[in-house]
Amino acid sequence: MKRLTILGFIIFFILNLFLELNGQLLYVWDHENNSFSFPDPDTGEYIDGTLAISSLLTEIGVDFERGFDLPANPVDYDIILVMLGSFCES
Amino acid sequence: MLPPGTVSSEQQVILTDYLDNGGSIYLEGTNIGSDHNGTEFWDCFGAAYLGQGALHNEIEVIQGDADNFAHACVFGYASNTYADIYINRLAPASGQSLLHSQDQFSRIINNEDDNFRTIASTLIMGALANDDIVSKKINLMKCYLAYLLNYQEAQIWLSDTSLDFGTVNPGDSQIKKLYIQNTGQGQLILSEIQIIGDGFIYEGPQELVIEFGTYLEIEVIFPAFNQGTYEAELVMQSNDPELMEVIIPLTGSCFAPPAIYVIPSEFIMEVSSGATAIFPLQILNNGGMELEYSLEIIGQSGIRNQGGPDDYGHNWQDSREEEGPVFVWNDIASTGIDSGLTGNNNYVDIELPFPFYFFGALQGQVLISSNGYLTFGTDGIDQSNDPIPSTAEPNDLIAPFWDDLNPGSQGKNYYLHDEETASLIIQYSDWEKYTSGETYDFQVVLESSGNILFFYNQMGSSLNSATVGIENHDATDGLEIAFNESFLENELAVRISTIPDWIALSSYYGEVITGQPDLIELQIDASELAPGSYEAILLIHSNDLADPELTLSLHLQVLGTSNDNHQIAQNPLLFQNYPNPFNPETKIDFFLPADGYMELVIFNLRGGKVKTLVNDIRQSGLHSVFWDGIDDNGKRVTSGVYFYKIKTDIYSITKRMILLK
Repeated sequence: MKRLTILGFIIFFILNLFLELNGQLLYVWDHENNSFSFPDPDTGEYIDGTLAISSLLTEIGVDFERGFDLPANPVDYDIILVMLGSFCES
Repeated sequence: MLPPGTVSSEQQVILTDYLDNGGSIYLEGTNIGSDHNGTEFWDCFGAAYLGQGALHNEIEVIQGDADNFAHACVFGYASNTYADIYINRLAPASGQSLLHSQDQFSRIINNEDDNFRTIASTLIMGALANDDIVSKKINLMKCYLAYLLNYQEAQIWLSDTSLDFGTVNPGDSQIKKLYIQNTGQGQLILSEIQIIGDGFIYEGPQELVIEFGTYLEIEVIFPAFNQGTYEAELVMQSNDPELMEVIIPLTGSCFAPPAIYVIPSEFIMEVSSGATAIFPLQILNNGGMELEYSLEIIGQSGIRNQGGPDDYGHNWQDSREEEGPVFVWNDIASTGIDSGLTGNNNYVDIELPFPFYFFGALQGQVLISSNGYLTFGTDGIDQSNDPIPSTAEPNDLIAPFWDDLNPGSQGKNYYLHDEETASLIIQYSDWEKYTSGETYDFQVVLESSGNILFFYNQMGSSLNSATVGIENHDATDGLEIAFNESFLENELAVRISTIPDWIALSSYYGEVITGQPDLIELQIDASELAPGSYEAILLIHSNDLADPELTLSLHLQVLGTSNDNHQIAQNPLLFQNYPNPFNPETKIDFFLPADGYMELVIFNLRGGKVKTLVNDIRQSGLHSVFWDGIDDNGKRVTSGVYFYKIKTDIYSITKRMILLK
């Protein structure tokens, strides 16, 4: 029984470690005004804020998920990046 | 449902609950405060929203980043001034400005309480350019993540993982800067900063402290005192748990630039009519860095008179002439590389395997067009052939068969670097004429001498709608061999050259390190020359920036009577051994103007014979022998000064060398 408890703890620890490193840590909510795009200063290709942030996270080596909808219960994510873009209302 | 760009009240509730449960939010948008001002959700960000045109005393005015933001806003940001107005809309309220400085683009407000951390940004991150020195976007994002994840450790970022100073002249001291940033919330402490190895200097403090989000620069000096190649390491200890020891490799070389020197400075040659002869050219490097050179012969006199010359000196001959090139078909379909040229009006770009001069300009790569021509320019897709010269593109043109062609169903294009002949062969196999579908097999051969050859193997019947010839880069010079006329036929060869038939070189390019000269043979063939004077010039291109192009005159006097051995008497030449001083082995070069008996012997200081290296009949030309310091008795000689002497039936010459232990 004691062995099973120790084994269970080890599995729990490894699982948590896996989730910590590879789990759904960040969520990029692409909620941008679609009228906005701009040339990437480094490449010249037209992108938007969400693509730019996604490229940055990839370059840094951080795992993330991206979607157009806000999850109803986003507690699994450590950070939510809310990307609203730009629009002229003045 | 509110449109994208706005967070609805329901979504605000979800996000506020998320923060209350310990989440972290990064909120980005130019109008975020305007839309959400006064809501519980917006209060979580600790930022006050400022209206357009408001004074922003708390926040430094930024000027955009090289117009990037102004350009970014497609709906009317006409200048940096407008960009400033639109994006400087936040000021700290309960929160504070994160990384608040001009360098770090400060329209970022952070806020935190017991449960959550937030960042609000009216700056569109993606509109920022990465910086040459400090990668702003990446570093900012690392800083934001460190804050949002509450990462308390130091986190080091380095602008370079190694520093290479390249090759510099002696005494030309160089400085390189290394930028170090802390993208973690903990204070970054660097200690024991030092250089391990020779040749580089670090004069800064032994310890550095860098706060969250800031960076420092340190300088490494390469003084370049003495010639040589240097490698060392910049080493420091860090409290970043992910990188406790930082090692930056340092490399640099210090050498004097190459300096070309040639012997002789001109050639005055006499050869009997009907004879052949060889004359040596010695190319030396009196500098430090490697000398790279290539040779080009230009001469308009000679027996060639079929076509040309153009202004540069190109002539052409075809294989129908008695002295013309010989047609050979060296099929490279199985030995060459498939260039990958496919499709109609297309081209591929390949690098040339040797220095190639075309109308006096060094070329490094060439476009192979599907329309049967090569160009050193940019237009590789022109299906409509022009006469030569024509200012219309393509220029810088080599046209073996420029017509409306394409690979069709079977066509292949190959190329091969033939090292033995120092040439590049480009072959069109089963290439089709677009209008008729007839197929054609032909080649272009570029030789390192600058010669250009066309070989036509099996050609379709439609041959009178093509351009054949060459043209320079601005269409002010060229050779039109054929234009929309009957000229080509099966098994025909065409040679285009600036080189008179009576002269050739043993090599047309090479590299010379200091103290080890290159020896080139000028091969004179007067077998078809009538008595008289013949002139040409030898251009020597090199990377000696002080003397990048040397011009040597070549004067040939063909005498009216042929002597017995078909050679005009010349003295042998003995060159300085290399290396010198030496241990254990050295190389001795010598030149014989004619076949005959010769001796090459080593003597000691007392005049005693030490070693006989050559004692037999040798053919004319350049020769090399090696001496390993072993005497005729098989014993290793002592260190010291020795002499080496070359002797023929009519001449002898001696030089000195030193053996070191």
